[in-house]
Amino acid sequence: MNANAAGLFVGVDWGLTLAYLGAAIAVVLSGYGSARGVATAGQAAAGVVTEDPSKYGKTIILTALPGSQGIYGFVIGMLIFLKLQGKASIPISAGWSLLAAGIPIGIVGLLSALWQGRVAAAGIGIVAKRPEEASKGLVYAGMVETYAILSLVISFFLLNNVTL
Amino acid sequence: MAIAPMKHLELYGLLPHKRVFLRELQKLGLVEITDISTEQAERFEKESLEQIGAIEKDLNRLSRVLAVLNRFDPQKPNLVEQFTGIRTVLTEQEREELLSRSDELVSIVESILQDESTYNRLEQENAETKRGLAELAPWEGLQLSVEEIAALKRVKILTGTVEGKIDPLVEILEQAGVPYVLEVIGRLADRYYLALYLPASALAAASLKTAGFTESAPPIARGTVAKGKKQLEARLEGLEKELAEVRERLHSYSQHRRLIQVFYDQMYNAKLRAEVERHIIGGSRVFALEGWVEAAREPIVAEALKKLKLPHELILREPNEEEEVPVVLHNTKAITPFESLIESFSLPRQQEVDPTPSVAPFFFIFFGMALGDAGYGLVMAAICFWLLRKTVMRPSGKKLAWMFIFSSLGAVLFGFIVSSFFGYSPYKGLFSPTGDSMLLLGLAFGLGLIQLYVGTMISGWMSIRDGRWQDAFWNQGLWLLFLTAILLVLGKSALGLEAYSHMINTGALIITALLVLGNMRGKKGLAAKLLAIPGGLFTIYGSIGFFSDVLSYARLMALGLSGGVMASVINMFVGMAWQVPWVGWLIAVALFLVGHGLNFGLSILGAYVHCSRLQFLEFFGKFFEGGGKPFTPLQWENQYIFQAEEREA
Repeated sequence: MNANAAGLFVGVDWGLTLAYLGAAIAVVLSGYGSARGVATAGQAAAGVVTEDPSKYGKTIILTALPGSQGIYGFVIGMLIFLKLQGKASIPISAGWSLLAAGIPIGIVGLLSALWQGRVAAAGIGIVAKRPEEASKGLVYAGMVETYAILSLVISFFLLNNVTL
Repeated sequence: MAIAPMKHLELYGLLPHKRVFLRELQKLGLVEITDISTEQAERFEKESLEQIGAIEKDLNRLSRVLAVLNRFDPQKPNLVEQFTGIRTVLTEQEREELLSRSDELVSIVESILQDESTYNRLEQENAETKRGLAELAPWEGLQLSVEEIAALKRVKILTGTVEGKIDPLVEILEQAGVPYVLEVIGRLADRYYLALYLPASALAAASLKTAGFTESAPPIARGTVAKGKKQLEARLEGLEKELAEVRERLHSYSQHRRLIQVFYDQMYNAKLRAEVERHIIGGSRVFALEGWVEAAREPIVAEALKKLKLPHELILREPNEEEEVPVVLHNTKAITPFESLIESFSLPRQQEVDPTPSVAPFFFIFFGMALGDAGYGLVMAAICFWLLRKTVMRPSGKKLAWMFIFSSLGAVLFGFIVSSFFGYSPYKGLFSPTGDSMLLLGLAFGLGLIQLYVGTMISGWMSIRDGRWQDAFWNQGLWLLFLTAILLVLGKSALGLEAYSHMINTGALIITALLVLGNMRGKKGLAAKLLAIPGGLFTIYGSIGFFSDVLSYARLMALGLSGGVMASVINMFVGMAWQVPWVGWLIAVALFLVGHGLNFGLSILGAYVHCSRLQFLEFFGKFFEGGGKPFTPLQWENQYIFQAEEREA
């Protein structure tokens, strides 16, 4: 490493940096997943509404469902931020721990939102063909969410366990 | 009361009175008429199908008319109506008055359909004229009339088009060495419209084809292009005027919308009756029908039929073992709204237990925990209450609205306990969901454990009710003891029961052994009994499934937590905005409304979806299968019209 490149890292607080990375992973990954999931469901919903605008109300509920992972990620990111607020420096070990705490909701939030988007899109198919059974589509989509919730719980406890 | 007891009903009457009885039964709306499956049932099949066909023809006509009205005067649904659909509310008197105007209906329907077909024809002509004008436009530069071009003797005028470039054409003309004049009349995108003046004896148009010249004439029969254009424009103007007139007329028909809707509903109900007629059997003088009626409502039906003063015979009896009895739920007022949860899953079969009373309190608590905020709960309850007051809803919609009101009150209660109002905590609550999150998780697991125990107990109770108390003991009783033993063995140190450690361990072992032995019950012979032991061991493995079901209740804590954290983050932003000078309060209020609005929506959605899921998968998995046939009495079912009294009821 030459002198200039090394200069980039002068004065970096690695503990804080790692913790920020943890918050970023939680928010970015789950947010991306939710955006994709809502997009998948939203496209299906738009198709149904083209045919029958009166189904707007029913489709919007299913479309919003994959959005929750992004919220969970944001919650964890926000909690990490609140923990760091006003700290000029934290130990590197605490930084690693906070990074690790952001990972469960980041990754599971990403994947579950993607898949939930597909189930929600299929549920919108139920709204189109058998609107009276629409609530069952909602339950199917809700089942995918279980795993995002479990990882949210774990992320939360992991980050709660870090003392600064 | 749970599942309402049913009675089987048979009604005999004289053939000429058949429809009078059906009309009365439809008005009552208390009797489901079932298909009598005998060969005789064919008796009315043809007659009924003809009748249905005739009614359907009329219904199609009316719905076409309604579609026309919607096309020319669309009813725009407001936000609420997007969910509920648009309804026309009429009082009984208004309805009667409209129904008396059947002569008017015929002429109105006739003229609407006629005007619509006129409109469609005019619109088509309009489009054709416009197309004609567009085709004419590039030829506008041609001054000569069709007659003039035809009359020329010495000079030939070729009109036509060239795609892309004119150069090759010019080249060929130059090479041929004939005098010529090439006039570019117009241009449309890449196509040139040309008039080529040549001596009459010169080369034929065919040889110009190689240069891309396609001979074509302006689309007019005679006169000049300019004159043709003027004619078309005049025609277009006339058409537009006519169209506007017809459109205006069609628009004005929407004042008759109610009249048409009333008759549509009238016929729709006639169709329902006609469909039921297929299920009726009859001889030359007498008809017979069979069906179901709620045991409690049977006197009302008998009384109403007696009032008709027509000869008839009504026979009621208890249902047989093997009959599939339609199911209708009856519960006390406080838990009736929660029936909508069961209905959205599946109704119980007649021999099952109605799960509503056991679902209601749990859903109330769970929803409260998952929403977890008194402010959100109050808003939700207020919205539902407002909807109930201000909109027309079907009974199922009302049930759902009341269920949300009750469940939101659960959130209000929980919010008061933990002191959470839109994320603010005005006083010290019993505990803080974000601070003591372990406690919240423990509460969620504890409630889950209780619900699953209750589910298992209901399953056992069903066995006892059916006289199989031994099954109840060996299956559900031991199972619950076994699960309790596991909990004690694992949690004895946490519960401070280490002193009884020996007792607990021994008890657990005995119960486990009994559970394995229980699997031998009913097996004949030593070999079969021994072979049942591995199966018994497998039952023990089932406890893993049970406890993973309990884990699933962690969602209650997670939902409450994420909603709570979001709310406090929003409040943090609101607090920061408040510091901004001059406009700070405005930004703060806007942030508060938008932020909490979004969080409110997502929290309600999450709480509803996940609390329903806990009932459907975890709780029902313990004792409830469903699959009951819903009770569908012959009754008035309106598509468009809502009776005004119905709204207040």
